[in-house]
Amino acid sequence: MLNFTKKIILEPKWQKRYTILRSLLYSGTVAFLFVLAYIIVFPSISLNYSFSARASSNKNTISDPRNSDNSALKKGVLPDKKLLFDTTIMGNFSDATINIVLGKNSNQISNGTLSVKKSYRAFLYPTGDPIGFKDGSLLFSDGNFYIISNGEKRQFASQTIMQDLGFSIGMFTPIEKNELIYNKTGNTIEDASAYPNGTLFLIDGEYYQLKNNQLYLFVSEKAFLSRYDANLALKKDSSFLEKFPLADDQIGLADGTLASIGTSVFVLSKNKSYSISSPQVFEMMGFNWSDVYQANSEEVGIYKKQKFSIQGFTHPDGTIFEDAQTKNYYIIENEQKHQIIGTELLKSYLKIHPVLIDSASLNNTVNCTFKKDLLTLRDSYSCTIPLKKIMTEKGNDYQFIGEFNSGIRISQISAIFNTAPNISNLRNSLSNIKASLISNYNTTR
Amino acid sequence: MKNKITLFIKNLNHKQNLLLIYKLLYDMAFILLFLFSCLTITEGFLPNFLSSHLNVTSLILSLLIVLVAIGKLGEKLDLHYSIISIRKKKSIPFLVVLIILLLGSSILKFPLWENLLIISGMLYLLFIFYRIILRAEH
Repeated sequence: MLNFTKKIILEPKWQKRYTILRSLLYSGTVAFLFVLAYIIVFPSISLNYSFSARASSNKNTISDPRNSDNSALKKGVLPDKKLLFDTTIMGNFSDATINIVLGKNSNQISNGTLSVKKSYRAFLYPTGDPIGFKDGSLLFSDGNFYIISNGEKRQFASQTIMQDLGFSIGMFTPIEKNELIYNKTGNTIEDASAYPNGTLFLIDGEYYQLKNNQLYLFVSEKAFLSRYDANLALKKDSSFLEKFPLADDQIGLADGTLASIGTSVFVLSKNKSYSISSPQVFEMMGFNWSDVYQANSEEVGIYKKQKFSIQGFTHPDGTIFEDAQTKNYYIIENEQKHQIIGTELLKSYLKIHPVLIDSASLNNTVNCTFKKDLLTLRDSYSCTIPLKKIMTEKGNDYQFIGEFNSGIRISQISAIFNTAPNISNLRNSLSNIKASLISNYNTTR
Repeated sequence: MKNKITLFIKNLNHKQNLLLIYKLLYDMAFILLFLFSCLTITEGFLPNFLSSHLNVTSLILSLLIVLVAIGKLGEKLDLHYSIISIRKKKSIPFLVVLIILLLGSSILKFPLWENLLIISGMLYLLFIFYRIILRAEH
């Protein structure tokens, strides 16, 4: 059986050698297949960071090692005895082994502990000030009419001035007074001939926004409606275009929009498009398939495509989170999360489903203590954390916080996420394979 | 030391040794082809499932090296084989069905008109290959 060279007959001594070597070859292949199956069913992922390489190097798969005030570490030195870093991975793992190699002239670790929590990386950003209304919003509060311009609320000096500029009462959204406090107060509008920055126009079926005396065209009607309600735009005829120069740049879809072209799905934010590599990643990020907008090439073409990397992928600016525990809403902007407080304020931002999260996950941590590695010549310490307690938390980012004694200098960090070989994990792996198969052939998405 | 190396090379060139190596290379080629076909079929239904764990480039390069080695060694040993009639092989219908399933799986999410175009092109290519193989056998 399986003898492809039957016609080549060896002398008995050589035939015996051939039989032994052939058996070894096939045994080796079977062993290889078992090892491969083990790696697939009980996967482990290894991530690293070396302070001797550039921070942006592709070899550095651990994100942003930093101190407690989020400053990058210089040459691995811990100025406040704390180390924070993030790892973004897909899948469920039983435990994580963190290994630290000390640099030259470092003290030994006498008292090192590590804790980890799981959430979405963007939700782990520090909390900034609550966000206010967007530029161009028209608001009515306490008997006064306001427009948001350059982030500030600018009151119309009178209803007459407001109407002379072309606005009507029906365009203004009534809001509670306390919803306006998150926008700074700007100058009162007293001139009925000058439109403030942020004013929205509808000219010959196309939407524009005025900024710094230039008219910025919205790339499509959908781009406008992804940000504003239709009634916020002042209707003008084509002669209005002669009053202001047209800007070169266009305004695209709202930050955080999910758009698709063909079978590719992107998240759009701040003139960049981030490709989502698979349905599994899409669902892992907490997005909703019903929010995906079938865009055209013109709408997506104004965005610069970014390379995808699961380690570096985090929810971009414009993403809105809903905290299931407190029912608060947050929007991500400039690596901070800003709460959205107020019904009308929330309505103005929430055009798609928010990403669901539970803030209780921020307090659910697991810990371990560093121990010196004995079977190595390097100054190396390891710590193994069981992840079962935090496995069910939403999110794909593990934030590690280490606390050490003084005088520590780190040369390398590695994190190995392991899956324990047991029946439960075997069932999980097989069900993941089944889910991938079903997802691959789900043509309704 | 020099004598030992000379003796080693002399033994290596011994005909029986070369025949043994030739037979083992055939077994290696079978194993690599088996792994490659498993990889192709699995990737057809579960993209990235195996290729994220296996270095596909190394697999293909190893296969090419082994096949070239078989050719060169066969030439040196003056080994010849008669042409096999592919038409009469019982595995051909099974292989054709497998190709159609893999192709169908890969174009599932394409629009209908693109699907029809690709399938027509593939059927035409299969027909051309069949005609070439027939001509070669005659």
